[in-house]
Amino acid sequence: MVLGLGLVWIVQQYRSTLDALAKAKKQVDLTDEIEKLVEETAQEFKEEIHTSLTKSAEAIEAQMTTALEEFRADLAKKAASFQESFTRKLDEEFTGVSRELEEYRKKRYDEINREVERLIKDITQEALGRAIEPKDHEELVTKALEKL
Amino acid sequence: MDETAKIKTLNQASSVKRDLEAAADNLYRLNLSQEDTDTKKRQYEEAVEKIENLKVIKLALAFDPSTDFVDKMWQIVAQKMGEGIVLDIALDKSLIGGVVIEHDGQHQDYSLRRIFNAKTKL
Repeated sequence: MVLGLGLVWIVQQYRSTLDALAKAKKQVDLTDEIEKLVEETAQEFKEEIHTSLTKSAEAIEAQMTTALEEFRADLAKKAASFQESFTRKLDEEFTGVSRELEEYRKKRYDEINREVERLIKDITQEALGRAIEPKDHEELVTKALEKL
Repeated sequence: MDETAKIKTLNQASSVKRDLEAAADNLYRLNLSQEDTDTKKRQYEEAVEKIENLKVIKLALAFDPSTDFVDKMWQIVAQKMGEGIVLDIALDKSLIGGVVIEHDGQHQDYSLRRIFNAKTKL
């Protein structure tokens, strides 16, 4: 009888263990499904994010490229304009300076000419004056006074 | 004697005028009568006035003239313009030769410088 009771207890324990095992297995299966679902969702989310990011990056890149092209074109235009303006200004300055230099050169040349002319005259006059005898001076004056 | 008769140049005129003015100021030292003093003073004043009325003829020369030549120049000018003249003579060697005459607002250039400048004008 004790054996019978022991067998019953064992069977009960066995059944109880089997139930627990079945229950646990069911829970394990559920966990796997959830994990699988989470993994799939995560993957989808990841792909979605990747796709979205890729699209955004492409859009940003396109915008940046456009903006960069516009900036480059504007810069080139401004650089060309500046260069043209600078060249023109430089030409004007050069022309102005050349003209001033020419005027200065001519002025100095004229001054030197006048100075040389004056020196030659002074020296010649001095030499002529010394070369004239006193009686010749007197004769020149006498003739001039007689014209009064 | 008329002191003004000897005057040929402006320098001489100035000198004689100063002497006459000094003599007039010193008349009181001679202890003359009032009448003689007044007569002398009037003579001096007339002489000074005569000097002041002389016509000044300016002559610029390229050489320093001798006294004889100054007299000669005065005689020529006085012959042409009358005796009431006095010469104001200046030395200007840049004239080279000849004379520049200024009188009655007229300027007559008979210098060699004028001819020289005209011939060398560039």
